[in-house]
Amino acid sequence: MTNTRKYFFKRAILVTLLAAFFLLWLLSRVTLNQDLSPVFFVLITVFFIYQQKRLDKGGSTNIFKIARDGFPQGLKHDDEREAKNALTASFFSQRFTAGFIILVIGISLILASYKVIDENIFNINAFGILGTTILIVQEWSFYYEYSRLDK
Amino acid sequence: MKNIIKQKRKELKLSQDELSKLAGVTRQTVNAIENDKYDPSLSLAFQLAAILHIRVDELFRFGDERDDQY
Repeated sequence: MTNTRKYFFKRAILVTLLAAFFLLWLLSRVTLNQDLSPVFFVLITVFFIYQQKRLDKGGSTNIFKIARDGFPQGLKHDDEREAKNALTASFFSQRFTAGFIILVIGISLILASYKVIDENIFNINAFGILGTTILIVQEWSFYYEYSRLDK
Repeated sequence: MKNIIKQKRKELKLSQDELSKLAGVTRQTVNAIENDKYDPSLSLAFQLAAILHIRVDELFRFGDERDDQY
């Protein structure tokens, strides 16, 4: 496994952990009598800062700046082939994630319109769960496609 | 794009790893270029040609373009 692939794997793991924290927060709001929101907010903030620091060690993380080779600075890579693969993987990931969002919302709307599910599911918890799931899908679809290209 | 990197590399008794370090790329990239799985940028092509003491047009030959679709 190349360093770049390890970096993307580490990033996917950290994003998944962050999403898991968020899901735990949402679950605690539903299942616990006591609202632990402040605790989770602090936990998630601390973890987010830790995550950024870990990923910073991999290189420049300003994804909005374009480097001289034409790729975003934040796309950690050791050479041009890896940069090209990462860019291709990000295209795939965008399409896959968009498809996932359309599918999930579409199915939910169809089920709601046929009264199979209660329309009340469209609340802040559902929004939070969808958001965190999107993060996970986006990161792992990116890693899957990058690994497939990195041969 | 076809190339004779492998042949030239062996003439100079260089391993893929050594060539990759000289060119500042990963070993996997050298392997991908040698096996026609990746076309290098112009600057990398010139760099490889300089390391292998050959002209870039002798090192690379145009043909059998792959149809990459994203």
